[in-house]
Amino acid sequence: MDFFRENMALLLPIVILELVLIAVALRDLVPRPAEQVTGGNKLVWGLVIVFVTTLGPLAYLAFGRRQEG
Amino acid sequence: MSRGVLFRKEIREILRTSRIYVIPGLFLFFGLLSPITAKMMPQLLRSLSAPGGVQITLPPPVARDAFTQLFKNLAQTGVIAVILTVMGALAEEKNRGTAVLVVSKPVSRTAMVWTKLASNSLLIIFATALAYVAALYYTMILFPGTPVRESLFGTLALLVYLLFVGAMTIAASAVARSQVAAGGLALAGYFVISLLPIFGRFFAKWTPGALVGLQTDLLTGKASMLKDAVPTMAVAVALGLVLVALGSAAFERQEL
Repeated sequence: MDFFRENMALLLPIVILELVLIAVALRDLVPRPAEQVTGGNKLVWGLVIVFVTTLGPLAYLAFGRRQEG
Repeated sequence: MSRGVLFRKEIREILRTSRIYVIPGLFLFFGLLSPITAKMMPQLLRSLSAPGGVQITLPPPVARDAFTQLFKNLAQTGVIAVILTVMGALAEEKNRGTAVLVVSKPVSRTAMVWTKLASNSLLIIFATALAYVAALYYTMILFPGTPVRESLFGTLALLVYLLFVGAMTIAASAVARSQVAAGGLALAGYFVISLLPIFGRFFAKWTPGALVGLQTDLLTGKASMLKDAVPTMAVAVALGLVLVALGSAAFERQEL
């Protein structure tokens, strides 16, 4: 934790970027019907978005969504 | 439908779909992370090695290392991300059947292909600029003596490389029937251009794959921008345009 406190000014933008990506991805995922999600499982994508750093939300935005119809 | 309208449709699509987050988000992440990784590398290695175990000592990191990290990240992961997000540009519209809707308007298929190239190139330029500015800012905070000019030259070589990969992927997307086939085709092309520089001096200087080595050579001052980089960059741009023209010609002959 000392490491984080000492380098706060540097790490903060990355943390903010991470949080923004998580927010954008979750805002897309939550109201979306399960049929329009790759693999059909919203819970798995939710976990990926929250726990896989940076690449999780990006992977969801790139590959998790399907067009209707 | 004029070209302007078509271009605005593309930009709207980029903003509405994931691409506005994926490519700039990933590039910005690397831009922020690369200088930090370069700076922390000795500490990271020290904390990873067990006390009394093998000691790994590195020379103290310098400003240049930040950009070496950035170029390495973007020339690998960045390229894959570009291929994966651009591969659907035309193939997906063919698949979904929306391409039929567009070309049934007074729009030539050629115009459609070139508009896709323009809009996706714009996205790549924006993302690369974002990554560079972030990396430059962090490097200036973390290291003394940031090589602004050299790193900008290296980034330009990187940008042309990424634009070439984007153009190649647009061409693949115009030829292929499905998104996956387009991605496979573009990845195959990526492997070819990555391998070509091995086959002798000529390829090492003139193929787009040479731009990867040029990024670091420009950074260290081993290569000169005007004499070494600009000719290779011009060839890469020309080659990219030829690929898109060929892809567009194939697309004209396809049945939708």
